[in-house]
Amino acid sequence: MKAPVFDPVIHAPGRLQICAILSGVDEGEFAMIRDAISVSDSVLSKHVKQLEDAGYVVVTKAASGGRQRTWLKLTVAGRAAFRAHVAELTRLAGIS
Amino acid sequence: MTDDNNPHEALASIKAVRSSVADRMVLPWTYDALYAVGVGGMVASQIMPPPFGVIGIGLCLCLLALYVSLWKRKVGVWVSGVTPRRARWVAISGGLLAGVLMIVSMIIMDRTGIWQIPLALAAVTTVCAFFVNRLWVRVYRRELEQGA
Repeated sequence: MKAPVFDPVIHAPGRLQICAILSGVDEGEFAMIRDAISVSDSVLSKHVKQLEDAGYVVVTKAASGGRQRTWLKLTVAGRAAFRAHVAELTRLAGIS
Repeated sequence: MTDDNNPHEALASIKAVRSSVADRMVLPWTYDALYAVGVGGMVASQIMPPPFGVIGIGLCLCLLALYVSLWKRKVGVWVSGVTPRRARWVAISGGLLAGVLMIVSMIIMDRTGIWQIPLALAAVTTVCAFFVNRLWVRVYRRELEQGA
């Protein structure tokens, strides 16, 4: 179990959901995540940029089916930070 | 949910969004069939004389690459079979079973030349791969929903 650490970068609802998706997969496509968390492209881009700046997410682009697709992946630091944040949320939920 | 979501709401939102992704993984059986034919074909390729056996394996690898590409495009995520904690044991067991059946087929063809037995083993591999793939998705979806 990761030591509980509250992470303000991850805690914002949109970014929390992005990390929740990416923590369960190897890679997630931008459009799928946008639809799953019901935000616009620009809002998702802003969240991704903040996670990227924190070193939690890497963005890659790949052509598939004649289209350029954007894929997001949690870094090792991102996975560790998310696990620690969830541990802190669980701890807080237990005392509230 | 607001920006200052409380821990209960935050944990609930994690579970909800993961469930929505897990729901996307319910695909028609044809995807499992494509995967199964790719794996079973690799065992069946052992029957063919050189160089057709190698060509057969190459074609099956192309089929598996097509399966991966279609799955990624449809679901919007990529998960290697061995990444999840619990579902990985389904993938490893299925891989071991296919590997053993392929080696057995090679040995039988090499020592006896009887092609009917490896062909039957290829059919068994295809059926097993179909159900193992479906089982993997089911175990993985549950794992994703539970946030393991």
